Amino acid sequence: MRQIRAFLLRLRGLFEHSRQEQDLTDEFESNIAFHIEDNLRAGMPLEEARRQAILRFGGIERTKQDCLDRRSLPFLETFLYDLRFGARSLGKSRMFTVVAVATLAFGIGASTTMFTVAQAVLWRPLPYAQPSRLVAISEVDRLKPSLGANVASADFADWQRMSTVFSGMSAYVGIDERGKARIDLHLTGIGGTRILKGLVVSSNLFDVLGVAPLLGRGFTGEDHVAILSYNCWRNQFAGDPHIVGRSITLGGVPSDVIGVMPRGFFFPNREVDVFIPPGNFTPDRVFYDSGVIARLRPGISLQQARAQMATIGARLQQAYPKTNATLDPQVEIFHSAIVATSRPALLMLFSAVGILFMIVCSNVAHLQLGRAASRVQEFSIRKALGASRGRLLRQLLTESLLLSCIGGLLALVLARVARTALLRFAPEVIPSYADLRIDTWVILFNVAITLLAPLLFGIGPALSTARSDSLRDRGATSPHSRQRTRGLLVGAEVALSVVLVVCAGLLIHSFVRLENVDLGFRTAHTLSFRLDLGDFRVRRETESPAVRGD
Amino acid sequence: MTQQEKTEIRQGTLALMILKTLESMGPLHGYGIARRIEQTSGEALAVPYGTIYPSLVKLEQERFVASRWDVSANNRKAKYYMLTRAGKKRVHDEARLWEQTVNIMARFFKPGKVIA
Repeated sequence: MRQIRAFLLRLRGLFEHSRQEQDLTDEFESNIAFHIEDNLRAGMPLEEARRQAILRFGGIERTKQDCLDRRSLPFLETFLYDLRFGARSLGKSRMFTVVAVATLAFGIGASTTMFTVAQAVLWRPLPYAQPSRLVAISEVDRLKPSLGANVASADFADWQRMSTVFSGMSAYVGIDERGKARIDLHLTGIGGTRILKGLVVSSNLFDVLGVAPLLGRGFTGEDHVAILSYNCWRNQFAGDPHIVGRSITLGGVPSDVIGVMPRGFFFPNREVDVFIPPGNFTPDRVFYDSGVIARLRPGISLQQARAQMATIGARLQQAYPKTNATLDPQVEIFHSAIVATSRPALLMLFSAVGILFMIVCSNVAHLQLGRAASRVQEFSIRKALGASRGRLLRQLLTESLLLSCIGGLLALVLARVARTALLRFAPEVIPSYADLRIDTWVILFNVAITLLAPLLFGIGPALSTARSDSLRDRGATSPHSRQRTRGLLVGAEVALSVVLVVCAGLLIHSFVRLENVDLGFRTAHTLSFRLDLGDFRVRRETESPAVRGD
Repeated sequence: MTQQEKTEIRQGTLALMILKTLESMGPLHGYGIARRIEQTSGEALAVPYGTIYPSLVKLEQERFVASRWDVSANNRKAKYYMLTRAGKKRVHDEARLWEQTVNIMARFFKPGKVIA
């Protein structure tokens, strides 16, 4: 406690330097004056009295410095001084500063963007209660394991009936194999037609997810009802507070809105606008179109669930050999299951950005070495005047830190721009459940990497500059050690660049191959388009020859 | 390193001397404290007067002493230091600790009188 208070006082001392110095000067003067008086009283002549008093006090300036150091934080004070000095010195070599900051901003920005993506796709918990207890269950064909792993509705019904390891199991229809919402529902009767993305869900879905609607209630088994996503409610119905109970026309069928989900909720991605119940239908083993999500019963492990589902799968194989002979249920943690498709691509991007960051650092290190060569004289003189190597090293590193901090700040701006650009130009790369948001973790990452960078690009050049010896080897040729550092740097840079180029080449290669897949028909001069016919009634009423395709 | 340790130890004892002086003399300015320490030690401690100031700064930051500018008996402005409540307690604690240490050390140096 006492230490903390002393620390705070010293922190304040940083900003009251001159006032405190005056205070000390006054105090010392009064001390010496007392001493002179005493000496005079003892019978000394005035000159001698003054001399003795000053002598007995000891070094006035040194004592003052000791007190000031004690009153503030010398470490921080030096740091602030170095920062000011660094800023001035960077301002003098403007070209270097601009290039170095831009390079750093680029490198740190790319890393931050990548982290934003990783955070959104891989790490941020899904907005459900205890998301790590949720599993996705799919049906994999042993003979064609790469094919879509959706589930037939009759199998789902059997699983639901036979399993005991889940506290709830729910199915949903309306997501294609690339994870996109595929059911278009035409919303009519609000002055114009809007297309909403729909998801057909079992009535217990929200119970399984552990999320209650923001307004209204969940499904209770009735038909012709709908629950809206928060965004749909805000955007299509202007956040109408009386939306619950209102009847809307979806796909030509009147449906009652019974609830609105809370903000930030999505399932299984952010495209879905409206959740609707399945209505009356007979489960079959014809259409494999359901996704299945279940919650592990408390105390049940993933392994136990897998074991039971394997048993159930085996029993269904015997019961329905025609359809189920080669089908195995597969249980996966829900988050891992939806991430699975984008994980390899993300990992590759990570490594590419990591390499890019290394190249950026070595580039800036290189720039600094070049600059150091032109500052040899400055440092030689400072050394000759008594600056220690550690002191010079510290100052150079502070300068690097300053560069990095400016770069890091710009990088945050860049990351914001990159985020918008990614969503705009490459929405396919980002899974549609991911929310690319610059949150606290992203900012922490940005700060961490900004602080790490100076160690990577600053220490080498700083060491070699601080090591360069006195005024002696101030010549046209740069010292041997610096040349070696330089050689190492160039080597590393070239190696990293080659790796990056090869990676990029491979990436482009596979893109080109994708573009050139032989579809088995001539694609030149062939167009594909979609024509939405509004709701079903409209179609029936306007059966013109054109629509019928006559 | 050893140099550092020595000054460190001396600083510690110096702080204690300052506290003890303030306890017995009441509020006192820096010169008075230095003078008093010199006299009490029988002129054995001939440290420069300036050395007590860094210690005073530290003691004040830790709130063992408080200070204020005042006018002395012969009408001269001076900064007076006085013990705080925490400072008084510290003097007591340290004094007890010293006595203990001295007693223990004494037993080592007088081996004849070891208590059975």
